[in-house]
Amino acid sequence: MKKNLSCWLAICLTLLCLMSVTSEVFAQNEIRVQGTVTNNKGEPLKGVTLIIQKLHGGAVTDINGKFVIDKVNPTALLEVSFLGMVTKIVEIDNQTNLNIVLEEKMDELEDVTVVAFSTQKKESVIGAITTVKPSELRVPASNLTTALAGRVAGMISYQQSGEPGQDNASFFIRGITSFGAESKKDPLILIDNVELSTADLARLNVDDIASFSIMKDATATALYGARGANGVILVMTKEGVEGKSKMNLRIENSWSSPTKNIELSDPVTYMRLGNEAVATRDPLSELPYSVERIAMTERGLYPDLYPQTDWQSMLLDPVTQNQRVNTSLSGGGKVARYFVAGSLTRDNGNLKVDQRNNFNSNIKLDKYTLRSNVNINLTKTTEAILRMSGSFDDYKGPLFGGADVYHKVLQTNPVYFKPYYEPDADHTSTRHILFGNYGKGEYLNPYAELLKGYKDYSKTMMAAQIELKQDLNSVVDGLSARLLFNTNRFSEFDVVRQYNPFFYSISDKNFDRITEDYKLLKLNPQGGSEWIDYKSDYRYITKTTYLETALNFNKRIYEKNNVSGLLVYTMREYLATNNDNDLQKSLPSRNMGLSGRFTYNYDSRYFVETNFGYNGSERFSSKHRFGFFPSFGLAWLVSNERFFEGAKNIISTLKLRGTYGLVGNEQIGSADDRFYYLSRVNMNDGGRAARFGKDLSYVVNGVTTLRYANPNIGWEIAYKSNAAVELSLNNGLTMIADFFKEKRKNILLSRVMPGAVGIEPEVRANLGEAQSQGFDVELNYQHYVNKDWWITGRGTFTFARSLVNKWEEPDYSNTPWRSRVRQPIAQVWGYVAERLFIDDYEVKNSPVQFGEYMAGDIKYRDINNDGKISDLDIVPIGHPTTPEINYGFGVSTGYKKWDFSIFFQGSARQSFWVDLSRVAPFVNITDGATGSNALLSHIADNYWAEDNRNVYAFWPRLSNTFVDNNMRTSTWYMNDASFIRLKSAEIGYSFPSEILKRVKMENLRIYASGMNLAVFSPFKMWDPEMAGNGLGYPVQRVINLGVNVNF
Amino acid sequence: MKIKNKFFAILLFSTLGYSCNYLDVVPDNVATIDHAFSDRYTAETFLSNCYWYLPSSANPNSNPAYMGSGEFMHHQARWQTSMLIARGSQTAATHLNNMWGGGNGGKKLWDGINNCNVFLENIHKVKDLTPAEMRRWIAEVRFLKAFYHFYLLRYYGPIHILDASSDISQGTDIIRQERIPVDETFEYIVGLLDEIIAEESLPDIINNTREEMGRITQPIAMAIRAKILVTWASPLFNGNTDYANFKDSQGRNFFSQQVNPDLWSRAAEACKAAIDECHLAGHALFTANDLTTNYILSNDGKIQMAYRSGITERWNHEVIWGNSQSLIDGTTQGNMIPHLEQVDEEHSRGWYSPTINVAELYYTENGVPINEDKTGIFDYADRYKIKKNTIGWKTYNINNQEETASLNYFRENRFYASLGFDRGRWYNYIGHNNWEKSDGNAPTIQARYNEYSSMYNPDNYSTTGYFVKKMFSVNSGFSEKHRFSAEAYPFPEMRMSDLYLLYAEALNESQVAPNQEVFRWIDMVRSRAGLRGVVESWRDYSTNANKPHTKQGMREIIQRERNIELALESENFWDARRWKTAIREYNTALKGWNVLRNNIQEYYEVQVLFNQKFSHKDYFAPIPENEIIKNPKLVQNPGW
Repeated sequence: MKKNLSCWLAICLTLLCLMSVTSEVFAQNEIRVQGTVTNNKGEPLKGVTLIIQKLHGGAVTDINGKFVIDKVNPTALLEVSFLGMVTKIVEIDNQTNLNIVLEEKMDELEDVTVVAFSTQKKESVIGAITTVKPSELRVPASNLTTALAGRVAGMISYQQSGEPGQDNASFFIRGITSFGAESKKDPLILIDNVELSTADLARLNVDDIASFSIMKDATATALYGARGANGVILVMTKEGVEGKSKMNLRIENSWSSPTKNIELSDPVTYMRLGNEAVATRDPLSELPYSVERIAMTERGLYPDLYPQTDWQSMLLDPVTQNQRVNTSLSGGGKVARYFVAGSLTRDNGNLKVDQRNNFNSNIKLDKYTLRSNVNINLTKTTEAILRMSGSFDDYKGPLFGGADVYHKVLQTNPVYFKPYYEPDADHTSTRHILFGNYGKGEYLNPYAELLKGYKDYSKTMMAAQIELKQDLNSVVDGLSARLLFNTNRFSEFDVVRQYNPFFYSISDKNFDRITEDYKLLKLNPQGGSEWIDYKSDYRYITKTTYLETALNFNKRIYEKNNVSGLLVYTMREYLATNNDNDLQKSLPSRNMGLSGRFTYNYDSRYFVETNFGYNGSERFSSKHRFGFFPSFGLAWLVSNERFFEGAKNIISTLKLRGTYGLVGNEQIGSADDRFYYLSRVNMNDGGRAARFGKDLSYVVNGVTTLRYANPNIGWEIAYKSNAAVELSLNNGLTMIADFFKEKRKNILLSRVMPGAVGIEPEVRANLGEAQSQGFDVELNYQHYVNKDWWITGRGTFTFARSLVNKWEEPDYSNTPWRSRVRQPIAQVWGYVAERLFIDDYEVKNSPVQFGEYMAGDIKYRDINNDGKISDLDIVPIGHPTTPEINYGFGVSTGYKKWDFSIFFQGSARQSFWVDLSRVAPFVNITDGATGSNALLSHIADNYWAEDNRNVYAFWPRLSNTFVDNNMRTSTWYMNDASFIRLKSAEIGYSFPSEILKRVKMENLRIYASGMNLAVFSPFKMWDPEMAGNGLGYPVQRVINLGVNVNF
Repeated sequence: MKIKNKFFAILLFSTLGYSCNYLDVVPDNVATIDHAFSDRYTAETFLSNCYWYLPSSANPNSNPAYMGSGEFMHHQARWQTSMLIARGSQTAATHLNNMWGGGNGGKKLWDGINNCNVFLENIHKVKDLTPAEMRRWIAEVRFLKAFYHFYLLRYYGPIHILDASSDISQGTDIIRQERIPVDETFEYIVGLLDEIIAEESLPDIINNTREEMGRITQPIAMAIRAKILVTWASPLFNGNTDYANFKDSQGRNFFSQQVNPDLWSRAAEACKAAIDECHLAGHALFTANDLTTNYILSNDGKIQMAYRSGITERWNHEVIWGNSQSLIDGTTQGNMIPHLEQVDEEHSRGWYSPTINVAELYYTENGVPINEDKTGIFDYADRYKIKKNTIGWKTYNINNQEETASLNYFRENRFYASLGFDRGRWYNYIGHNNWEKSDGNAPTIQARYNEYSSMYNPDNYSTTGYFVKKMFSVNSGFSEKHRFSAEAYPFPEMRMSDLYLLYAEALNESQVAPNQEVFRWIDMVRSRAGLRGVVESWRDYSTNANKPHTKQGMREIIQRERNIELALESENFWDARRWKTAIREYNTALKGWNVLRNNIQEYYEVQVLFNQKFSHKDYFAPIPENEIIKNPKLVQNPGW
């Protein structure tokens, strides 16, 4: 620690040495000055203050913007300032009549790029930082993460669920380069400089965002040392701007429906194939559906006795509506500026609600957010910023979530019983719903499952932040300091209420075929209850405190030399409850670090930057606690060279830049395994008890070693290099292309411990190495055809491929195809399926496979030719399970008051495997009840049958149980997940300002937009982006109407 | 202004001030392995850990020897892991009862050994153990370490020695250990036991019976050393030329190629030493004289109850080592006993099904094999025919006028003590309807289809028509019609008759021809079972009267005596392997009665239930395939 402190002091002293102070004194005759102050539209400004610098006196403009100052030094400087306008210094220079034009203050972030802990002029940025205009991220959804795919160069993103509250997209910067089982792979997310979670990012309201940057290479992220290895997303929220108060209001209503519905076969086909599934495996066994049942069902007779339930339409609504309202108010004066925003969104699930239940078991997720950013000028050189934000999620929904309802719908028999029965004579006064069931009531009835109870959950996130900025020009010219303190409190709990449904059935005996009257049979008279019970089970509370102090130096020396320096010291603590009574988990997580940056540029042509992060984490033994992560970068702004003058009329900017450096990752194990340098033991393990004594009653519990101490475990380190070209043409086209290569070392992985070593728990060590490489390109185009018509275009393309370089693995020298080395990190190994077996003769004369199998089952290739299909025959198959390519492109255009935009997004080089346990028809995978997987039309239309021996059919020989042989991961069920989709489209109309002025509005725009409108993909069964999760809660297509008003 | 700046600077630097210990978030006293050795109390928990790895001998899913010998059958719905081994389902890919890497019912014994090593390396840190106690605990753990090595050696053949605790940061080269010749491992194990025994740190008798019964004693250590030495001397390990080509990477044979007769003498000495030590500690055969019941028992009944008591009575003096980590509990006993009257009760399931093959093993009343008895009381040729007890023969075994197979008549007492069968009696000290008062009142099994002892639930029935009476505690039974009460008892890992027979075997093998000393120890076992000595019995009743007087003949007699005396106790699995008789014994049809028939004629038709398969590879379990992938230095056992 002493090292830290001395380092800090040394840098301070250096900065002090650079101090230079100049002062000049003037003395001249005095004159009278008068004039007008206007804005850039020529409108006079009233109340503008003019102050004579370094002397006393001044004036204020009148209603016509006029002013008069007597007795003023003819060489004096006038400081002209007005609310919301850029303060201007005017030299009198012996003029007696001055016409001063003030410019409106623009958003400060236009010309600069947000970099780690600071901002830099765009031209001087060397690191790979993508900035996205917040408006680019606006989609008609209440989840910001769903907008990222294809819009951010360098990001790989995909979304696998459309369920409200569970619909966060996964996203990775330049792919995944770590393969540690539980190590952090997704980027560090910073909102207003504070580390937060994906969920917090998801909740952010686009209208509140001032800047959104993604930091990708070592130079950009090195300052975050310990935590930046997977890239950084830095979001800054808006601040109030000096000026009159402005209000922004946006209201949206959207209609949401699945992008694609799962198609099922009809109940009669279900029964026929259900019989076939049983008979084809064992001709002697009893068939589940009688000829009579099939015939009756087909003719639609006696629907109470022979029901056909379409569980999808019974439980799922095709369309649901969601609402979003958000508003913000900003403005301020010389002393204080404010930005206050609030939003309210309601997302409904598309589950059906039964009116007879007085509670609603559909998903209803209400999110509220409140944000207030206040900037106060404490003194001329001191600014304080207070940021408070809160977000609140209130959820009401089915007991086990929406995806579970979708799963259950596809696990239920469609013909055995109705979802519920109308009361018969005996049950006219029954107060509960008469749910249908079969047998002894052990069958799955998803309708009862949905209606039997509901869950509430609540999540609250509160953040309070104070930031002090001190201008230290008076100490050293160009020096400033900053201090930031932040604390977050998060809490979450859920509450569950449910009853046990009563089940009823109708049997042939109790059914009158003439009157169609029936008598219901109560299947579980003891098992049900009419009343609701309460159950509370989950609580999760966390707190985070964060402190950041920084010293910033920025100076131009001798005109052409620009230097800047930055030193940041950070401390962060995170403390959370854990639900499994674990001591080591209960200890706080802490980080601390000192980071620095030094930049220099000569004449805005040659740029040098070096960064370092010196970071410590509580996770490692004192030997490995601190890591040093330096980085270095160079850039050349070619277009500022004199020799480039000739090309300037075509190319406005050409910049070449490159960086190299190290970044660390401390989050390398699971939360249970934070302290690898300590052993972890269960000192009182009943599972290891020994029993002794005359009465066999003296029992002494044993000790289980859950982890052996390993003080050598340390940081995962990324060695990142990046090279890029930035090009802007005068015709409005700009391009940024980054090429990157990264080596990741010290990846934590489990050692291969032979059993004979006698080590019980898994042993981890920093033994893995990986690399990734690729490129990301961003293209922008902006063109004004004429004063009424503009066009912009934008495209991004990201390719990132990660390979394992080193892995401690068993000796695969005899079966090299099993080795993970030089294979993509997300590679899947499986069998090569050749086709289905033609007949039993072929089965007998082929290498031995798994379990019992026959003609029409999958035939695998014997890779090592040993006459049997075993683990030794699995080879890498397909593309990785995360896409290697993400891209997006779109255009926006405006004509007069109309605007229109469209955006396509795609992903490629990804494989996925159908979740066989859910797709396999007729099989029961339900926990605690008898279910029967639905029959997908895709299977019913294309399966191997004894009378249709198609050896390339999609589905092998049917079965009503899992056929081990066919359940293996193989190329048979491998699918190409690549797709391109019409991600969004929007059309809007802004009302003319003449009309709006009358109602005192500044801007009024109405618009219609859509999301996930169409998808093009080789895979047809469900939305390809859901990949293996296809039978879950589907990704949603949204049609949206909105209005946006500014006052 | 300046003041404000200074204030700000102070604020900035003050944040650095308290950072020195910022990252030390772990408080003292977080539980680590060191804490396990901080005092006697916690050290005892680690001692538990070392004991915990003792084999689950009473569990047919964990103990490969339980049903792996084919002594039991069971119907297909009961897939016990050890039964699968008997049925030839063992593979290297899916290793059943995996003791090497753990899994499929097996405990990972290497972990047990490493735990022992950790214990031995740390126990000296405990300050509040008396020196004597510390020596005793160390001796116990060293014993366990030796025993686990032995178990692996016996199961897998060549292994390596894990004498010190493993370091997790060792390089791949070190953690990938080679297998070594079996002689080296035996020498190591026996050496370890010699040291433990010589230093006499283990108690001869447990004094603190309330807390310590089941802990390792000097008699246990000596008896197990005897068994290990006998195993080493046996043909499987001693000069086994079947493995002439089975060598390690340096070309050394894993198995010696020359028979070393000294091993038998060493074994005999160890057996004698163990017997003497056991006698001193009060261990002896449980005889009819040791019975303390007031109930009225026939003389045969007394013999049968004494035989059963020596196994099933908790901590009786015959049991040298009762494994209290694995109990034959109420559930297990319920799996043995069938319903004994018409009753709707599901605790007695009776699905452990001894085969006809075992039933045929037992001697006739005269103490000679059923196919050698020349007296004519037992009609070998017609043994599967039905016979009615019209003559009132031993009605405490089979009631008057009952009909059952001829096979079940005129057998030695151990037959009736060990097996239940259709129309046989089942006597226990616990009963109702005066069942317990005398063995003549004992209830009769009625096991023909639809009778009360037949299938109760689809899974609960004997598939052979025989039931395991032997391992059913004498103190268990039906206290009322619907109340099944069972006394759990520790699995007998080692008992006196086992030791006597080992001694007889070792003596016979180490001498040119059998002498009185050989006969003496086997005759003690026979005498407790109510049989005359080997020499007299063969002389008077056998068609092969001279058999006991040749070394080979006596070897067969001792082996059969062991198979009978220790039947259904998981011994046969190991014995048949070490004698290398398994290839002959275990390639046979396992048979039972036609239990799904009600008609008596049909019921007593012999059914072949399964053709047991055993090939040379089966003498040892396979090294699990994934272990060989993890450690390519491991040589797989031949044939796998």
